[in-house]
Amino acid sequence: MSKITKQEIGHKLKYLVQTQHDIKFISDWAHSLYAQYLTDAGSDLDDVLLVLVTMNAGPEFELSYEELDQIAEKLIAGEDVKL
Amino acid sequence: MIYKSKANDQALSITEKTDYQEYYQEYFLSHQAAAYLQKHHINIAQVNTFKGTAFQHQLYSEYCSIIEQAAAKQAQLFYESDLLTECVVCAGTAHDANTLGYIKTVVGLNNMGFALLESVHAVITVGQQIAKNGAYMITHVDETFESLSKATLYTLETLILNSSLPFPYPARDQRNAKIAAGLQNLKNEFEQLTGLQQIKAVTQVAAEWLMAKPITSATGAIMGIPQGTATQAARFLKPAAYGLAPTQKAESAASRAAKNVAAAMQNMKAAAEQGVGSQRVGSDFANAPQKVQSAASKAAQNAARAIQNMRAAPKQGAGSQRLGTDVAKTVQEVETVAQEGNMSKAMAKELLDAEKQFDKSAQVVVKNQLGRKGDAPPAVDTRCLLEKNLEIIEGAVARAKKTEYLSDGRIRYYTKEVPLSTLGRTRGSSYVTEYDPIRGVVRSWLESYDHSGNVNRVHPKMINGKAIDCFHYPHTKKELEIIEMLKKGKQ
Repeated sequence: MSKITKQEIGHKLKYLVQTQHDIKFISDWAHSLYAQYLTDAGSDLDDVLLVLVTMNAGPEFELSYEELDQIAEKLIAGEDVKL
Repeated sequence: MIYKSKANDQALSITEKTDYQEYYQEYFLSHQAAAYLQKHHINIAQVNTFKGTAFQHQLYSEYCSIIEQAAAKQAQLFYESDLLTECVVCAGTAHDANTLGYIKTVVGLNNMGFALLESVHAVITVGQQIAKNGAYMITHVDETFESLSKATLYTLETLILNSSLPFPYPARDQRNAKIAAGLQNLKNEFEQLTGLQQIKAVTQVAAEWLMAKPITSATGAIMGIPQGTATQAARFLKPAAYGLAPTQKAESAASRAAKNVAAAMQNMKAAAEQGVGSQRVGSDFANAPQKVQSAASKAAQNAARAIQNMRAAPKQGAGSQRLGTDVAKTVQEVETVAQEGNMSKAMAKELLDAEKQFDKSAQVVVKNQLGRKGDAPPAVDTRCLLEKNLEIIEGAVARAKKTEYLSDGRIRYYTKEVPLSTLGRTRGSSYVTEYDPIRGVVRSWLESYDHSGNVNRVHPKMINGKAIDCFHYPHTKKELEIIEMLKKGKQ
């Protein structure tokens, strides 16, 4: 399994938020990463991906574009994301 | 182009009656098809099972049929056909679109897959037919040139009949009416064909036209017909092909034909006097030996006499016998040319070029439909099922906060629960990965829990590494609205 960095995910997420992609699309994208890449289990990046995947569990789990943008900013800056 | 099938209509009807109920079904491909898929790095395990509505299953069976037919056709070929590869790529994309539920896309892609298959079939069939005809022509030179001379004679007769005669000539009108009726019949038959048959017919005509081109140019050059006469004749025939009344077109067609004949006669005279005919033939058969040139010179003289005879024929009625003798002489001379084998080489080259062109144009069609290759969704996952499942389980084990062993051997790995910050019935959600070691199946889904810890909603995400796009169980408010809308739309 290959690895993926915070910055890579952050930039992609930023782009998806800026282009106002559907929340379901963003969640599906996160799921493809979650299934494809092995991040360090228990790391905040793994948690972020899980939260993004969980947005598909129901409408109550969906995050707003502002929240997603904040997450993207933190990922790009390499900061810890606390959810 | 949309091909409608009865089976599709029936499947759609069943789907509506069963209220879009989805079910699993297993599909078994032949060894030939399985080997062909493996050759294209397609995982057969993912092809064997499919879940969907009756209509989706119908489309899936079409996909299987395309793969089977493509594999069978590839087995007939001694080379790897790009056209068939595109066909498999197209079918693979249809498969993915079907899994995602993009029905219209699947229907379009399946139709394109069938059209590509039919094109391959047409190329193979026409190629075989041309090869047979070529072989027959080479082994039956006398018969071939007799037929060619008859055809040429018929064309020349028609042109002469259409020359600007000062009085009405019934034979001309009869001939024109006959040609127009024949073309009209062809047009009617063509219109009655299905889409696939039309593709086949057009392919066949194109291939045969390419095949006939060197023969026409060779015969035309020897007979002294200037280049472009065939094009003019085609233009003359075109109005009739489109079903226009022959009487309306007779005048203009006759005048054009008269110009052609006049030009042909002038060329013939010039050729006979100056020996230009031999040069023309020489340019067509650059590698032919010198005797071809002398044969062509004689042929040009014979053809000049033939034309003179034909001009005299309507008045004297006795030219036909002499004409026959002249044409027979011409045939003997042309035989010498055929023995050199240049014509068969040219035919083979034309055939190869035709298939290359056809392959290229079909590829362009597929690329236009799918966009650039880089933009197209991956048709299939090239990793093998075992490797992929292993990776998924590896990830699930590393992330598992809770592991559950079921009595039938299944193992479920639960990630940590993602809590919900807002108040409501739901407490949080976990990502669950289930491994069934007996069946070798790995599934993933999202589970939501209420405040008592009971599961109150499930959303399937993946089966054997294949992402699933389906509704939640039970449905969300938005999904219920969509279902309601669909039901209203049906009513």
